[in-house]
Amino acid sequence: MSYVDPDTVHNPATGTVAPAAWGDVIRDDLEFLIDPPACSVFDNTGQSVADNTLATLNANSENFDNDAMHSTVTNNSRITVQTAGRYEFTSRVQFGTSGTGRRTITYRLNGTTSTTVASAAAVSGAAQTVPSFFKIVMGVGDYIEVQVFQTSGGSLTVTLVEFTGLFITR
Amino acid sequence: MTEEEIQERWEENRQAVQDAKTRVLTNFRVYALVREQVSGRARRRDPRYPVLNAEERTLIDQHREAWEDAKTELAEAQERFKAGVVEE
Repeated sequence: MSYVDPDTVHNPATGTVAPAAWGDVIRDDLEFLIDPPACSVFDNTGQSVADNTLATLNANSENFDNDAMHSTVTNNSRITVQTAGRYEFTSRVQFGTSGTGRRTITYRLNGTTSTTVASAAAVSGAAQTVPSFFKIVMGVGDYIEVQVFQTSGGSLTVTLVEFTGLFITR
Repeated sequence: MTEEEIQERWEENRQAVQDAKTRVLTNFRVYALVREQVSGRARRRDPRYPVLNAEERTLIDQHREAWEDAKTELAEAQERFKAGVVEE
């Protein structure tokens, strides 16, 4: 249950005995505090991303989702917020091996507003993982997607290793 | 299904989760209020032994059930959202 102000159930000024419902509220509020909305998803296959093209990454698998924030079936690139508040989004994206160009991560809000959250020069000799972090106030129904942009000169296999949204405060 | 229909159904499923959350909260508040009112009535009736009668216990149980049902509906709405939108 979402946070409920215990005062709305019982105000100690009006009586000396706290009703049982007050205990329910305290319990549920504590359960919300110890298990706030959290969603972590990833893609277990990787996808081909063309050179010099902004691409949205899919997430066909989940580590955890305790607030119905993600579907692996429809719009699986999105983490959709069901409880409004301040959120931290983090991700790790792995790019296929290439020492040319740059690797850029952006987070797109509600399909329209993009923010660059990480950009790194390519590293040769091995697949490259780029991490990113982002904090934002989210309303109910708002969603974030991870997008990538790479300039290797050719297509690369890109894998969303992890994409996580964590509730910080309301 | 067209892409537009899929997105429409997706949005309906998302809104259904919100509506279910609201019902859980509302039903809890009604349940809490009924419990407090009924308990208060029992205390006024007999401050030394504020025992609820059968009718009062039934009333509390009904509202508790409504709260539990709302929680079940929320879980179902969340499952439907996560299941996505597929061609029937």
